[in-house]
Amino acid sequence: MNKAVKSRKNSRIKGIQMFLMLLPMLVLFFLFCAYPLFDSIYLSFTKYNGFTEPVFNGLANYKRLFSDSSWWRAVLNTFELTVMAYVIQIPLSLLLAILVNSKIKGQNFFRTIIFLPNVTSTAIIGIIFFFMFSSYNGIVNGMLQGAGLINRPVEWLGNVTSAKLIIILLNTWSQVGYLMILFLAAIQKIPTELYESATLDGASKWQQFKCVTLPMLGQMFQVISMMCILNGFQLFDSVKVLTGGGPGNQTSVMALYIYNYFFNSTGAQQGYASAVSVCATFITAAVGALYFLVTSKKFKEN
Amino acid sequence: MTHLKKGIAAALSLTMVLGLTACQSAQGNAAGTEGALKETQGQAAETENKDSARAVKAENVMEKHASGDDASGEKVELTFWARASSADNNQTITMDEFNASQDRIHVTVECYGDNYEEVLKLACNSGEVPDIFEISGLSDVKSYIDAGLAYPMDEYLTEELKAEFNPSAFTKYAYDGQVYAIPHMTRYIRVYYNRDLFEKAGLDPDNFPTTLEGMYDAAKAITEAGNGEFYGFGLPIKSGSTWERNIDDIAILSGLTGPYGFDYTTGKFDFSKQKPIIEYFAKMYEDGIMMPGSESIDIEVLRANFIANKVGMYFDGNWMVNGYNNEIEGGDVTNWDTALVPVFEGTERAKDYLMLESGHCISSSSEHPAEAFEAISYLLHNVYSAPARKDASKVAPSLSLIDKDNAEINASPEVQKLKGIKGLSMDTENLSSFTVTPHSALTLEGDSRDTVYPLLIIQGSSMDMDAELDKLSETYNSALENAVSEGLLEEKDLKPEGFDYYTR
Repeated sequence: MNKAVKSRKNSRIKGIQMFLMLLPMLVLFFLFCAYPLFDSIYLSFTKYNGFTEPVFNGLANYKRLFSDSSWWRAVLNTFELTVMAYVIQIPLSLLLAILVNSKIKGQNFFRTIIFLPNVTSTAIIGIIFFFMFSSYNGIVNGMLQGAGLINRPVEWLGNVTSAKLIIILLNTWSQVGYLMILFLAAIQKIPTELYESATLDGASKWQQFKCVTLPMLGQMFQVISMMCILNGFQLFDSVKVLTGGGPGNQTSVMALYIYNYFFNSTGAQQGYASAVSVCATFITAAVGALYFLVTSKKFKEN
Repeated sequence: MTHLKKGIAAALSLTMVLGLTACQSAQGNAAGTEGALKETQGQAAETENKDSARAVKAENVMEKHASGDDASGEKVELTFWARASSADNNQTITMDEFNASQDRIHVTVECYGDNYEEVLKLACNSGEVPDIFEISGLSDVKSYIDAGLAYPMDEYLTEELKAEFNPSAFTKYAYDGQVYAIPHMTRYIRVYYNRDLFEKAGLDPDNFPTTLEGMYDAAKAITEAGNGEFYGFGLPIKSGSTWERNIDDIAILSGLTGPYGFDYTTGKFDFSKQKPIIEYFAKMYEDGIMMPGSESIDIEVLRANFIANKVGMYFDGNWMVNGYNNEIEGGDVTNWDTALVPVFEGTERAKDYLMLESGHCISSSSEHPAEAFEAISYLLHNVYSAPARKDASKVAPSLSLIDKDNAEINASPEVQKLKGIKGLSMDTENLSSFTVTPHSALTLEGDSRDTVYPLLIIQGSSMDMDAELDKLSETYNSALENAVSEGLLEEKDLKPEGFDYYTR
């Protein structure tokens, strides 16, 4: 009896202890995630410029959203950049992971070199890329002019296509190291016996990769892909620094579009920005859910 | 022992919770959402806990003021937020002088630069607005009044005082017959050009072209002479204000439209009227006469390149005469000058566009509006003469709305010796503002002019310019209708009777 009371007491203390340990996280979560989230849902039904009282305007912001072609262009740009990033980054990081996992000289050196850009802030990388690709006094133009390949500086960031390619290049360079480390961790978890028996069965390196490595990556592959996709949807700093969405919103992405309405120093439209961010949340969640749905089925089958 | 461990663990958790909660106000600024910001402001207001009486509503203040409650004999402390990037600016110098000139009022000046609007917005939400602040581009005057920010200053405006100013001073920030701020600066646009580069291109620097066609030819000649070293014209496409400085200014001088393509003869926005000017700059861009990289540079970068002898000419505000002579390093070394903005050949020239943007407001939560006005009045009368009194080398032209001050200061030999002074207007006679500038009162539901124009310049030839400009006019006109129906603008102001661009 005494023991039972004691253990009940113990579990209660344990419960309190756990709650206290979680509390800092919960406080921050409610303050900086839950509260702003609900507040923006409320603001999305209002007309609000950030300093006068919000005025309820029903579904007007949402109606406007559906006919706002600039917003949908930003959504399309986000999809484009995400798909491009995925198509380039996933195979590249997997390839790099396999390469640095093989017995090559200076393995750690390569790992560090490839991972290093990830340590630097994207905004700083953005500024460096801006200096590299800026039309006037840019490093790339300087090199091309020096080599006599061009006469007049190329407007890398003024042209929509080249600007998008530079954004992708920047993101690939900064992200690929991180994705490579994740792949590396997953590859190193694969039991070596599998490779040994495959070798005994006479499987080539390619066959080993296709029939052992790839299937064994399984869930990890799914998680890494998911991260890559979500990173794409959160794309903001690199675009902000490189092009600012310009020229004429042509390279804008979802997060930047919201930011521009939210923090416009002259005539901010925070009510509309909130409606747009609610829409962006739904789009991102829908893509995430769809991806999980499709891939989990596939992984289960496997 | 286990109890002790558990006790320590619990205590540690508690400390962590308290620690993190205490930290949150510092972290708040990084959180990019309105909700988080609001929360932080609340916290900041609590933490700073300045003076609870500061939160008193405007009505109470008025009552207090009427009863003369603040005549306690002690020095009145006022705060003033100046829009300036360094503490050594004209407004701070003038306020220091004001503090020294009497012993009843002390004004503390705090400077905020590019983030002025954001800081003011935060202050508004947390009820921490200073006694004096600069009315900015945050929104229209009515929004400032609705948000409880601005206090009318009519009761302090004597007829004598009014007579000193250019009449535009009392129209820009007026609402419902009351004045909420008085601008302290006359802004207008001039061409800044490099005399040395003009000579290198075989042009006469004493005769700046008077037509846009002539300016195009000069820019072309400079670019050709530069051979990749320097270029004819600079257009900082990344800066939002570029279009007001370049395209609007030419449109106003040519009697085509007002600012932002607003046509005061029809009371509607009509961006298509600015098409010839857009095409002019688009051609410059396409022909490679413009400085490369224009699409991704802002005005600061352009100024740096101008001073480094890389750009032949560009459009900038009259205040840069002071900027280059006294503030920007190397500005006094480069051989530059100013000239009037040209118009197309055969176009009759209208008055220069006078922009009035730096007005000072008394906060409606200020406990000492009369003293705040006294400080503002001192500033308006002395802001152009005080810096030179402090440091004789800081001589600058006066850009005041008080013509008497302009005449006095600008006639002095020191000012006359300044670079670029010849191109400036010495009085406000040939300058004229517009009673209302409707674009500032609009909530646009679509791309703004600042978003569309860059595209028209960069991809000019491949775009259907007419369709883009019509769409832009449509966006602005539909927002205009909303603003009128909300009472932000009055129809009679939009289409003043007998309006003429040449006699305004």
